[in-house]
Amino acid sequence: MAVSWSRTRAIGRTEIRRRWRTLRDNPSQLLGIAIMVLFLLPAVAAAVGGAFVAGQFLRSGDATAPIAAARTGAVAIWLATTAFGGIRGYTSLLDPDNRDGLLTTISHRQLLAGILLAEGAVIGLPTVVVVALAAVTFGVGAGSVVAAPIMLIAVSLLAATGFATGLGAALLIKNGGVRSRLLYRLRTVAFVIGFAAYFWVLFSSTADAVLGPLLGVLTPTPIGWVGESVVLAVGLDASVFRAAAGVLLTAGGLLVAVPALTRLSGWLWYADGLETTHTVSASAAPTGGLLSGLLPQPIRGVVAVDWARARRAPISLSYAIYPLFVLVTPVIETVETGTVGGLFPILVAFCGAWVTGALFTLNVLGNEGAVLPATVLTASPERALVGGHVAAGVLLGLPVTALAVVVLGVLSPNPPVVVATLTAGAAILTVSAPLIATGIGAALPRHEAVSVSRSTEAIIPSTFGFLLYSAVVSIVSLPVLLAHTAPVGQFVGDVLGLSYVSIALVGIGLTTVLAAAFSLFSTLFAVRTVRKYRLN
Amino acid sequence: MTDDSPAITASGLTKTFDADPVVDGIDLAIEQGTVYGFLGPNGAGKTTTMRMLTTLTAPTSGDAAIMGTPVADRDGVREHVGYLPEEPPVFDELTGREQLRYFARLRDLPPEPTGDRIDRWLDRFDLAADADRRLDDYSKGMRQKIGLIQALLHEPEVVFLDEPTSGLDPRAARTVIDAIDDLTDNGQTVFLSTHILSVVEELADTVGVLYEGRIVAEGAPDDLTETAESGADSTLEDVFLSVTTESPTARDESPTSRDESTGSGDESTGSGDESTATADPAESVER
Repeated sequence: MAVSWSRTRAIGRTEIRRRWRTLRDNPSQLLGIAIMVLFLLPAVAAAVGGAFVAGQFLRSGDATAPIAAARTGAVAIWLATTAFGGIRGYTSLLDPDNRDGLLTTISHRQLLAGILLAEGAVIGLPTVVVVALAAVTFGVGAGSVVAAPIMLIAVSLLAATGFATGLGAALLIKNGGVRSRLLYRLRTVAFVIGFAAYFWVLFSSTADAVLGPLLGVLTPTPIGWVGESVVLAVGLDASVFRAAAGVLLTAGGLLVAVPALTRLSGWLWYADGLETTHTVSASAAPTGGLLSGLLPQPIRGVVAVDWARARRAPISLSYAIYPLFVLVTPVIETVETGTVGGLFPILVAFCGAWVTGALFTLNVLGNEGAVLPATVLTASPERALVGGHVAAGVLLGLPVTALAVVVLGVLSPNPPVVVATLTAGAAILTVSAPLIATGIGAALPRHEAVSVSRSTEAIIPSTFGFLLYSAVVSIVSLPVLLAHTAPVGQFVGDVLGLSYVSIALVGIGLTTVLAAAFSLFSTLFAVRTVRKYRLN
Repeated sequence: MTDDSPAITASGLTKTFDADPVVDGIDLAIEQGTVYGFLGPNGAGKTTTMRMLTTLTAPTSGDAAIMGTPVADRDGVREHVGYLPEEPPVFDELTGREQLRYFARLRDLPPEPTGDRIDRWLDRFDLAADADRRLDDYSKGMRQKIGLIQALLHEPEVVFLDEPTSGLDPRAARTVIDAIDDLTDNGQTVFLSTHILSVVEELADTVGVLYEGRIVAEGAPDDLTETAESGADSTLEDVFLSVTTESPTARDESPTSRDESTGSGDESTGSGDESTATADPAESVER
């Protein structure tokens, strides 16, 4: 069955229709895209304006190394689109819905063509419009009629080849993942390492160190040579041979990519997949001796389930990741300078508590999913659910946070007594954060699974609930955090005639009062909500 | 391909995962215009067999063909088959009518008579009033019916149905059963996998029971029940239970075991075995 244009168009049109309807049903996602477009507009304006300036600069003859600049630009475009293609491919494009239905109706070649058409229409067309605008302004700036079409062709060629390369890389990774048990098991670790590396590069200003070698390798290749065609179009001296060879070889690469992507997608979509069994040995059950004397059985049961689900489906804990972003900069500073700053343990105390509350307690009812009817019919569901989720968070968060605060506090320039008060403050915050979260989670439950990525759905807490919880935890934490921040604590101490330690203790006192009030109110609300919960 | 050639053939069809045989050398010869009831307990390998026959999974060894086209020729087989998986392959964001028109377009069906055909199917399945509602508003049974129409829309010669009446209320199930029954009148062949034995009893010309990857009994429902160990009053359920409760080792040692009779095509019989294995699925074969 050959690939036909009418079927390709049908798949593309249906795909776009489905995407639009999904977006229309999800106002927050729609708002997110609107905001992203709003942020992109200045970037588009800068690209179009920048192209004009670049054209003028080349025309003036002031450019010292136009060929090197053009090659670097070409490689940068190729790398950016490769990364984009890889991410799009891995996260969504290569996991078409209803694959069985489609693959018993059309060929995988036809399916891939339709998917790429939809992607081209949604992402490619607007990009081409922006590139065309930039090409026109570049041509005007350079005073060359041919510069505009040549630039449009060069950039489109680079972007198409880069996107295809990214898709190919994603297909290779996915093919490996469905065939190798080791790769399948390592995927979460690889994702975390990749994510951490990305943020490291982003926040540590080491992008040049990472991209420099890549640019060095790629600029003397046909990908870089494509840039020389633009230099030639402006009328400057460059190698006609390299420019022509760059364009032809890159176009040739695109032609080779078509059968390669088709073959790789066929291998992926017809793959048997791995038979994954989820056997858990009885000795691995976390409710064993450790908790048996500590917690009553119903609470212990909820703790065990929370921990097991977290281990097997960590995606449901996605909100617990956000507080960790606060720590990215101090971690990088610590690694770069080799010293622990005074603020770092304070931030760890705050983030540890913030994470602890976000782990299990932000959706006490919704987390139960299909089991909820059975849970609410148990003898004392409010005790088991509220107590269990809080315990699951505290038993993990408290020791980790306290230990991290003590170790970092000792390594920091903070006096030992302040480290001790900060640790006490961290303990109070870590215990109270999940208690605060329970009521908010009970007031704003989310029972249905939401799309975390195109192929993954999970029940995660409400976004508004997480934001509200974050605000309350911040307010409760503020006294203890400010009192332990040296400049603030010492300044207030000087004004009031009290020592830094006394101010730290006052901060703890204020936080304790706030934490007790919010925790009590929130927990009672959660208990009442669970007790009175009725299935509608 | 002649009129009397089998619609579905398989010889030594095997699928292994991690060296573990999920489907273990099955042989099939299903006549055109018949309903083949494919039974088996959960995990017996029914869905894997259907996935191999519909080209979604490549066999580890053995051969299979649909209307004479080997399953290795995916494009060729696709022309002959319609497939309703256990989970209907529908897109939540589309309406019922859009879904069917979309798949008609993918099959290159001409819009004019296809639109009328879609309307007739929707009418028949009591879906006409809901045709322009989105599929995420449909009940499981309604989605199942849309999935079935989708599988039948291009009038395939061979239809694979995996639990087509699962989750349907009795009225809807009756509509689906009648529709399946009508398919054979048009000469279409139905490969029907289900747990609902009454549906198989009513529809199937031949029944095959898969157990631990092997076909352990095959024949016309009446013949199977007549030759069952439990006696003359036995039902298909008795047959199913008797051939799927023993381990293969135990069956090997049983005087009425399939292995003491023979595999398909082998005409020798085991001593003390009252049933006979032949290549003709119309004859009773306990295997």
